[in-house]
Amino acid sequence: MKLKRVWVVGIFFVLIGLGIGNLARAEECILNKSVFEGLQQTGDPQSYLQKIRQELSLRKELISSVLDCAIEEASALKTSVDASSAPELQRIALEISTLLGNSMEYYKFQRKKIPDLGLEGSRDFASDILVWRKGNYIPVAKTASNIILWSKNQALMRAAKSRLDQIGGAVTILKLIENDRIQNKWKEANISFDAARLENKSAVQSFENFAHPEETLASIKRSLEYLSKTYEVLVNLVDEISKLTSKIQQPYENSF
Amino acid sequence: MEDIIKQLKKLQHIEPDRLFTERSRAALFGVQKSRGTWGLILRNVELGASFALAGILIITIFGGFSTWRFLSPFKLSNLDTTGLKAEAQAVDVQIELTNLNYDEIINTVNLESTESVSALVKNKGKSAPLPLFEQEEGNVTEGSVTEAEEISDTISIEEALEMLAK
Repeated sequence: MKLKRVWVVGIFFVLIGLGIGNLARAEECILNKSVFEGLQQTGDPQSYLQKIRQELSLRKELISSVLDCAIEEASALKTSVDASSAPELQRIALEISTLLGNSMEYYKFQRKKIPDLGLEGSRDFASDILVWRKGNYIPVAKTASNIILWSKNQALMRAAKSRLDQIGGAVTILKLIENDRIQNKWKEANISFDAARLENKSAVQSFENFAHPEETLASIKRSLEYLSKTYEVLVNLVDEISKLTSKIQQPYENSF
Repeated sequence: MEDIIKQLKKLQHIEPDRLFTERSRAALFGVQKSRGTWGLILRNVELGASFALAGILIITIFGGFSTWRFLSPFKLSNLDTTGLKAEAQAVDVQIELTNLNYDEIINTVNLESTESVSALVKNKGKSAPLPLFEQEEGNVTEGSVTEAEEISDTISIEEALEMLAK
Protein backbone atom coordinates (compact mmCIF):
# COMPACT_ATOMS: atom_id res chain seq x y z
CA MET A 1 0.00 0.00 0.00
CA LYS A 2 2.80 2.37 1.00
CA LEU A 3 4.78 1.41 -2.10
CA LYS A 4 1.79 2.19 -4.30
CA ARG A 5 1.43 5.63 -2.73
CA VAL A 6 5.14 6.33 -3.32
CA TRP A 7 4.74 5.34 -6.98
CA VAL A 8 1.73 7.64 -7.46
CA VAL A 9 3.54 10.60 -5.84
CA GLY A 10 6.65 9.85 -7.91
CA ILE A 11 4.69 9.78 -11.20
CA PHE A 12 2.96 13.04 -10.21
CA PHE A 13 6.29 14.82 -9.75
CA VAL A 14 7.72 13.36 -12.98
CA LEU A 15 4.70 14.71 -14.87
CA ILE A 16 5.14 18.15 -13.28
CA GLY A 17 8.83 18.05 -14.25
CA LEU A 18 7.97 17.17 -17.85
CA GLY A 19 5.48 20.02 -17.96
CA ILE A 20 8.09 22.53 -16.79
CA GLY A 21 10.60 21.10 -19.27
CA ASN A 22 8.19 21.58 -22.16
CA LEU A 23 7.45 25.12 -21.06
CA ALA A 24 11.20 25.87 -21.13
CA ARG A 25 11.44 24.40 -24.63
CA ALA A 26 8.55 26.56 -25.76
CA GLU A 27 10.55 29.63 -24.72
CA GLU A 28 13.59 28.62 -26.79
CA CYS A 29 14.62 31.09 -29.42
CA ILE A 30 15.45 29.73 -32.87
CA LEU A 31 15.61 31.94 -35.94
CA ASN A 32 15.39 29.90 -39.12
CA LYS A 33 17.14 31.27 -42.20
CA SER A 34 14.58 29.75 -44.57
CA VAL A 35 11.77 31.77 -42.97
CA PHE A 36 13.68 35.01 -43.49
CA GLU A 37 14.54 34.06 -47.06
CA GLY A 38 10.80 33.62 -47.62
CA LEU A 39 10.48 37.43 -47.38
CA GLN A 40 11.43 37.68 -51.05
CA GLN A 41 8.91 35.05 -52.17
CA THR A 42 5.61 35.78 -50.48
CA GLY A 43 3.50 33.14 -52.25
CA ASP A 44 1.51 33.85 -55.42
CA PRO A 45 -0.38 37.06 -54.74
CA GLN A 46 -3.44 38.07 -56.72
CA SER A 47 -2.51 41.75 -56.70
CA TYR A 48 0.42 44.05 -55.94
CA LEU A 49 -1.41 45.47 -52.90
CA GLN A 50 -1.99 41.99 -51.56
CA LYS A 51 1.71 41.18 -52.02
CA ILE A 52 2.68 44.33 -50.06
CA ARG A 53 0.27 43.47 -47.24
CA GLN A 54 1.49 39.90 -47.09
CA GLU A 55 5.17 40.94 -46.97
CA LEU A 56 4.51 43.64 -44.35
CA SER A 57 2.64 41.19 -42.15
CA LEU A 58 5.50 38.68 -42.38
CA ARG A 59 8.11 41.36 -41.71
CA LYS A 60 6.28 42.55 -38.60
CA GLU A 61 6.01 39.01 -37.35
CA LEU A 62 9.71 38.37 -37.93
CA ILE A 63 10.79 41.65 -36.31
CA SER A 64 8.71 40.69 -33.26
CA SER A 65 10.40 37.28 -33.12
CA VAL A 66 13.86 38.85 -33.45
CA LEU A 67 13.12 41.34 -30.66
CA ASP A 68 11.77 38.53 -28.47
CA CYS A 69 15.01 36.64 -29.06
CA ALA A 70 17.03 39.77 -28.26
CA ILE A 71 15.12 40.21 -24.99
CA GLU A 72 15.66 36.56 -24.11
CA GLU A 73 19.35 36.77 -24.96
CA ALA A 74 19.86 39.87 -22.78
CA SER A 75 17.85 38.25 -19.98
CA ALA A 76 19.93 35.04 -20.10
CA LEU A 77 23.15 37.07 -20.03
CA LYS A 78 21.88 39.18 -17.14
CA THR A 79 20.96 36.08 -15.13
CA SER A 80 24.38 34.54 -15.77
CA VAL A 81 26.23 37.74 -14.86
CA ASP A 82 24.21 38.08 -11.66
CA ALA A 83 24.94 34.46 -10.76
CA SER A 84 28.58 34.16 -11.73
CA SER A 85 30.15 37.43 -10.68
CA ALA A 86 33.18 36.99 -8.45
CA PRO A 87 33.76 39.42 -5.54
CA GLU A 88 36.56 41.14 -7.50
CA LEU A 89 34.10 42.02 -10.27
CA GLN A 90 31.11 42.85 -8.11
CA ARG A 91 30.95 46.53 -9.08
CA ILE A 92 31.46 46.04 -12.81
CA ALA A 93 29.06 43.07 -12.85
CA LEU A 94 26.37 45.21 -11.25
CA GLU A 95 26.88 47.92 -13.88
CA ILE A 96 26.76 45.42 -16.74
CA SER A 97 23.67 43.81 -15.25
CA THR A 98 21.97 47.22 -15.15
CA LEU A 99 22.97 47.93 -18.77
CA LEU A 100 21.58 44.56 -19.85
CA GLY A 101 18.35 45.41 -18.04
CA ASN A 102 18.26 48.74 -19.92
CA SER A 103 18.76 46.89 -23.21
CA MET A 104 15.81 44.66 -22.42
CA GLU A 105 13.69 47.77 -21.77
CA TYR A 106 14.86 49.26 -25.08
CA TYR A 107 13.84 46.15 -27.01
CA LYS A 108 10.46 46.07 -25.23
CA PHE A 109 9.90 49.75 -26.05
CA GLN A 110 10.82 49.21 -29.71
CA ARG A 111 8.50 46.21 -29.88
CA LYS A 112 5.54 48.47 -29.15
CA LYS A 113 6.27 50.45 -32.34
CA ILE A 114 5.92 47.44 -34.65
CA PRO A 115 2.14 47.67 -35.30
CA ASP A 116 2.57 51.19 -36.76
CA LEU A 117 5.31 50.24 -39.23
CA GLY A 118 4.97 50.42 -43.01
CA LEU A 119 6.95 48.28 -45.46
CA GLU A 120 9.83 50.72 -45.96
CA GLY A 121 9.61 51.79 -42.32
CA SER A 122 10.06 48.17 -41.21
CA ARG A 123 13.34 47.99 -43.19
CA ASP A 124 14.62 51.18 -41.58
CA PHE A 125 13.40 49.96 -38.21
CA ALA A 126 15.40 46.70 -38.53
CA SER A 127 18.42 48.66 -39.73
CA ASP A 128 18.20 51.09 -36.79
CA ILE A 129 17.97 48.25 -34.28
CA LEU A 130 20.96 46.58 -35.91
CA VAL A 131 23.00 49.79 -35.65
CA TRP A 132 21.92 50.29 -32.00
CA ARG A 133 22.79 46.69 -31.19
CA LYS A 134 26.26 46.92 -32.71
CA GLY A 135 27.02 50.23 -31.01
CA ASN A 136 25.41 49.71 -27.62
CA TYR A 137 24.37 46.18 -26.86
CA ILE A 138 27.19 44.06 -28.29
CA PRO A 139 30.02 45.73 -26.31
CA VAL A 140 27.95 45.22 -23.13
CA ALA A 141 27.14 41.62 -24.09
CA LYS A 142 30.81 40.91 -24.82
CA THR A 143 31.81 42.36 -21.45
CA ALA A 144 29.11 40.22 -19.84
CA SER A 145 30.44 37.06 -21.49
CA ASN A 146 33.96 38.07 -20.40
CA ILE A 147 32.71 38.36 -16.81
CA ILE A 148 31.17 34.89 -17.06
CA LEU A 149 34.39 33.45 -18.51
CA TRP A 150 36.64 35.16 -15.95
CA SER A 151 34.45 34.05 -13.04
CA LYS A 152 34.53 30.45 -14.26
CA ASN A 153 38.32 30.62 -14.62
CA GLN A 154 38.77 31.36 -10.92
CA ALA A 155 37.91 27.79 -9.98
CA LEU A 156 40.61 26.60 -12.42
CA MET A 157 43.13 29.03 -10.92
CA ARG A 158 42.36 27.80 -7.41
CA ALA A 159 42.66 24.16 -8.52
CA ALA A 160 46.06 24.85 -10.09
CA LYS A 161 47.26 26.67 -6.95
CA SER A 162 46.17 23.75 -4.82
CA ARG A 163 48.04 21.32 -7.12
CA LEU A 164 51.18 23.44 -6.93
CA ASP A 165 50.97 23.50 -3.13
CA GLN A 166 50.48 19.73 -2.91
CA ILE A 167 53.30 18.88 -5.30
CA GLY A 168 55.51 21.59 -3.74
CA GLY A 169 54.98 20.02 -0.32
CA ALA A 170 55.95 16.60 -1.62
CA VAL A 171 59.03 17.98 -3.38
CA THR A 172 60.19 19.67 -0.15
CA ILE A 173 59.47 16.71 2.15
CA LEU A 174 61.39 14.30 -0.07
CA LYS A 175 64.19 16.81 -0.73
CA LEU A 176 63.69 16.25 -4.44
CA ILE A 177 64.50 19.90 -5.03
CA GLU A 178 68.17 18.89 -5.01
CA ASN A 179 67.55 17.05 -8.28
CA ASP A 180 68.31 19.47 -11.16
CA ARG A 181 65.62 18.20 -13.51
CA ILE A 182 62.97 18.40 -10.81
CA GLN A 183 64.20 21.80 -9.70
CA ASN A 184 64.02 23.23 -13.24
CA LYS A 185 60.53 21.87 -13.87
CA TRP A 186 59.34 23.09 -10.49
CA LYS A 187 60.64 26.60 -11.28
CA GLU A 188 59.08 26.51 -14.74
CA ALA A 189 55.67 25.51 -13.33
CA ASN A 190 55.81 28.35 -10.83
CA ILE A 191 56.86 30.91 -13.44
CA SER A 192 53.96 29.87 -15.71
CA PHE A 193 51.49 30.01 -12.85
CA ASP A 194 52.71 33.46 -11.76
CA ALA A 195 52.27 34.68 -15.34
CA ALA A 196 48.74 33.21 -15.41
CA ARG A 197 47.93 35.02 -12.17
CA LEU A 198 49.35 38.27 -13.53
CA GLU A 199 47.21 38.09 -16.69
CA ASN A 200 44.22 37.16 -14.55
CA LYS A 201 44.74 40.35 -12.52
CA SER A 202 45.35 42.32 -15.70
CA ALA A 203 41.92 41.22 -16.93
CA VAL A 204 40.39 42.64 -13.74
CA GLN A 205 42.19 45.95 -14.44
CA SER A 206 40.77 45.94 -17.98
CA PHE A 207 37.27 45.42 -16.60
CA GLU A 208 37.73 48.28 -14.14
CA ASN A 209 39.14 50.62 -16.79
CA PHE A 210 36.26 49.81 -19.17
CA ALA A 211 38.81 48.70 -21.73
CA HIS A 212 37.64 47.28 -25.06
CA PRO A 213 36.08 43.82 -24.48
CA GLU A 214 38.54 42.29 -26.96
CA GLU A 215 41.45 43.58 -24.88
CA THR A 216 39.99 42.02 -21.72
CA LEU A 217 39.32 38.78 -23.56
CA ALA A 218 42.94 38.72 -24.76
CA SER A 219 44.14 38.91 -21.11
CA ILE A 220 41.73 36.14 -20.10
CA LYS A 221 42.96 33.99 -22.96
CA ARG A 222 46.64 34.58 -22.15
CA SER A 223 45.95 33.75 -18.50
CA LEU A 224 44.41 30.44 -19.54
CA GLU A 225 47.27 29.68 -21.90
CA TYR A 226 49.79 30.18 -19.08
CA LEU A 227 47.62 27.99 -16.87
CA SER A 228 47.61 25.30 -19.54
CA LYS A 229 51.41 25.56 -19.72
CA THR A 230 51.55 25.21 -15.90
CA TYR A 231 49.61 21.95 -16.08
CA GLU A 232 51.75 20.68 -18.94
CA VAL A 233 54.88 21.20 -16.82
CA LEU A 234 53.19 19.75 -13.71
CA VAL A 235 52.25 16.55 -15.54
CA ASN A 236 55.89 16.15 -16.66
CA LEU A 237 57.10 16.97 -13.16
CA VAL A 238 54.84 14.37 -11.55
CA ASP A 239 56.03 11.79 -14.08
CA GLU A 240 59.65 12.57 -13.13
CA ILE A 241 58.85 12.33 -9.42
CA SER A 242 57.06 9.01 -9.95
CA LYS A 243 60.09 7.59 -11.73
CA LEU A 244 62.42 8.78 -9.00
CA THR A 245 60.30 7.62 -6.10
CA SER A 246 59.71 4.21 -7.64
CA LYS A 247 63.51 3.75 -7.80
CA ILE A 248 63.96 4.80 -4.19
CA GLN A 249 60.91 2.95 -2.99
CA GLN A 250 61.85 -0.46 -4.39
CA PRO A 251 64.65 -1.28 -1.89
CA TYR A 252 62.37 -0.25 0.98
CA GLU A 253 59.53 -2.43 -0.22
CA ASN A 254 61.80 -5.40 -0.87
CA SER A 255 63.05 -5.21 2.70
CA PHE A 256 59.57 -6.03 4.07
CA MET B 1 64.44 6.20 89.89
CA GLU B 2 60.81 7.12 90.04
CA ASP B 3 61.30 9.43 87.07
CA ILE B 4 62.61 6.58 84.98
CA ILE B 5 59.60 4.42 85.84
CA LYS B 6 57.29 7.28 84.84
CA GLN B 7 59.11 7.70 81.58
CA LEU B 8 58.80 3.96 80.81
CA LYS B 9 55.10 4.00 81.58
CA LYS B 10 54.65 6.80 79.08
CA LEU B 11 56.24 4.61 76.41
CA GLN B 12 53.36 2.17 76.78
CA HIS B 13 51.11 4.72 74.98
CA ILE B 14 53.31 4.93 71.85
CA GLU B 15 51.44 3.60 68.74
CA PRO B 16 52.71 3.06 65.17
CA ASP B 17 51.47 5.25 62.29
CA ARG B 18 48.02 4.07 61.08
CA LEU B 19 49.00 3.97 57.41
CA PHE B 20 52.18 2.09 58.21
CA THR B 21 50.15 -0.46 60.16
CA GLU B 22 47.73 -0.98 57.25
CA ARG B 23 50.49 -1.34 54.68
CA SER B 24 52.50 -3.70 56.88
CA ARG B 25 49.43 -5.84 57.56
CA ALA B 26 48.61 -6.03 53.87
CA ALA B 27 52.21 -6.98 53.10
CA LEU B 28 52.25 -9.70 55.72
CA PHE B 29 48.90 -11.29 54.81
CA GLY B 30 49.00 -10.69 51.06
CA VAL B 31 45.73 -8.74 51.17
CA GLN B 32 45.31 -5.79 48.79
CA LYS B 33 43.26 -2.79 49.72
CA SER B 34 40.17 -2.70 47.46
CA ARG B 35 40.34 0.13 44.86
CA GLY B 36 37.56 2.69 44.31
CA THR B 37 35.48 3.14 41.10
CA TRP B 38 38.18 5.34 39.54
CA GLY B 39 40.75 2.75 40.30
CA LEU B 40 38.72 0.14 38.47
CA ILE B 41 38.25 2.35 35.41
CA LEU B 42 41.97 3.17 35.37
CA ARG B 43 42.80 -0.50 35.60
CA ASN B 44 40.53 -1.27 32.59
CA VAL B 45 42.01 1.56 30.56
CA GLU B 46 45.50 0.28 31.29
CA LEU B 47 44.48 -3.17 30.15
CA GLY B 48 42.81 -1.87 26.98
CA ALA B 49 45.83 0.28 26.12
CA SER B 50 48.13 -2.69 26.56
CA PHE B 51 46.06 -4.78 24.13
CA ALA B 52 45.86 -1.90 21.60
CA LEU B 53 49.63 -1.34 21.69
CA ALA B 54 50.23 -5.02 21.29
CA GLY B 55 47.86 -5.07 18.30
CA ILE B 56 49.59 -2.12 16.62
CA LEU B 57 52.95 -3.78 17.14
CA ILE B 58 51.74 -7.01 15.54
CA ILE B 59 50.25 -5.15 12.55
CA THR B 60 53.43 -3.09 12.17
CA ILE B 61 55.62 -6.18 12.16
CA PHE B 62 53.52 -8.50 9.99
CA GLY B 63 51.43 -6.03 7.97
CA GLY B 64 54.16 -4.89 5.55
CA PHE B 65 54.66 -1.43 7.05
CA SER B 66 56.93 0.79 5.04
CA THR B 67 58.44 3.96 6.48
CA TRP B 68 58.84 5.29 2.94
CA ARG B 69 55.17 4.99 2.27
CA PHE B 70 54.36 6.53 5.60
CA LEU B 71 56.61 9.52 5.04
CA SER B 72 55.54 10.28 1.47
CA PRO B 73 52.04 11.72 1.67
CA PHE B 74 52.03 12.80 -1.99
CA LYS B 75 52.23 9.16 -3.02
CA LEU B 76 48.57 8.68 -2.18
CA SER B 77 46.93 11.53 -4.02
CA ASN B 78 49.28 14.11 -5.49
CA LEU B 79 50.98 11.82 -7.94
CA ASP B 80 47.66 11.30 -9.67
CA THR B 81 48.37 12.32 -13.27
CA THR B 82 44.83 11.35 -14.33
CA GLY B 83 43.38 14.09 -12.13
CA LEU B 84 46.01 16.54 -13.34
CA LYS B 85 45.28 15.71 -16.98
CA ALA B 86 41.54 16.15 -16.41
CA GLU B 87 42.14 19.59 -14.92
CA ALA B 88 44.46 20.45 -17.83
CA GLN B 89 41.72 19.40 -20.25
CA ALA B 90 39.22 21.67 -18.50
CA VAL B 91 41.66 24.57 -18.97
CA ASP B 92 42.04 23.76 -22.68
CA VAL B 93 38.26 23.68 -23.15
CA GLN B 94 38.04 27.05 -21.44
CA ILE B 95 40.66 28.40 -23.91
CA GLU B 96 38.50 27.18 -26.77
CA LEU B 97 35.54 29.00 -25.25
CA THR B 98 37.43 32.28 -25.55
CA ASN B 99 37.32 31.73 -29.32
CA LEU B 100 33.51 31.67 -29.36
CA ASN B 101 31.16 34.60 -29.84
CA TYR B 102 29.45 36.08 -26.79
CA ASP B 103 26.09 34.53 -27.77
CA GLU B 104 27.67 31.10 -28.12
CA ILE B 105 29.24 31.42 -24.69
CA ILE B 106 25.75 31.78 -23.16
CA ASN B 107 24.98 28.27 -24.41
CA THR B 108 27.89 26.87 -22.45
CA VAL B 109 27.24 28.73 -19.19
CA ASN B 110 25.03 26.04 -17.73
CA LEU B 111 27.10 23.13 -18.95
CA GLU B 112 28.98 21.53 -16.13
CA SER B 113 30.71 18.59 -17.80
CA THR B 114 33.89 19.25 -19.73
CA GLU B 115 32.80 16.74 -22.39
CA SER B 116 29.57 18.65 -23.11
CA VAL B 117 31.38 21.97 -23.47
CA SER B 118 34.08 20.32 -25.57
CA ALA B 119 31.45 18.76 -27.85
CA LEU B 120 29.73 22.10 -28.23
CA VAL B 121 33.00 23.86 -29.04
CA LYS B 122 33.92 21.19 -31.60
CA ASN B 123 30.45 21.55 -33.08
CA LYS B 124 31.19 25.19 -33.89
CA GLY B 125 31.53 25.59 -37.63
CA LYS B 126 29.40 22.59 -38.48
CA SER B 127 26.26 24.51 -37.67
CA ALA B 128 27.67 28.01 -37.56
CA PRO B 129 26.39 30.09 -35.98
CA LEU B 130 25.01 28.01 -33.13
CA PRO B 131 21.32 28.62 -32.59
CA LEU B 132 20.47 30.72 -29.59
CA PHE B 133 19.02 28.95 -26.55
CA GLU B 134 18.55 25.68 -28.32
CA GLN B 135 19.83 23.59 -25.40
CA GLU B 136 17.84 22.74 -22.35
CA GLU B 137 19.42 24.31 -19.30
CA GLY B 138 22.26 22.27 -17.85
CA ASN B 139 21.49 19.26 -19.94
CA VAL B 140 23.29 19.08 -23.22
CA THR B 141 23.87 15.58 -24.35
CA GLU B 142 25.34 14.15 -27.52
CA GLY B 143 21.81 13.97 -28.85
CA SER B 144 21.23 17.68 -28.51
CA VAL B 145 24.55 18.42 -30.19
CA THR B 146 23.44 16.26 -33.14
CA GLU B 147 20.21 18.22 -33.09
CA ALA B 148 22.30 21.38 -33.39
CA GLU B 149 23.97 19.97 -36.49
CA GLU B 150 20.58 19.23 -38.02
CA ILE B 151 19.39 22.82 -37.55
CA SER B 152 21.93 24.09 -40.01
CA ASP B 153 19.86 27.01 -41.23
CA THR B 154 19.63 28.79 -37.88
CA ILE B 155 20.85 32.38 -37.96
CA SER B 156 21.94 34.92 -35.37
CA ILE B 157 19.97 38.03 -34.38
CA GLU B 158 22.38 40.25 -36.35
CA GLU B 159 21.96 38.17 -39.50
CA ALA B 160 18.18 38.19 -39.08
CA LEU B 161 18.15 41.99 -38.72
CA GLU B 162 20.40 42.37 -41.77
CA MET B 163 17.95 40.30 -43.83
CA LEU B 164 15.02 42.33 -42.50
CA ALA B 165 16.79 45.59 -43.36
CA LYS B 166 17.09 44.60 -47.07
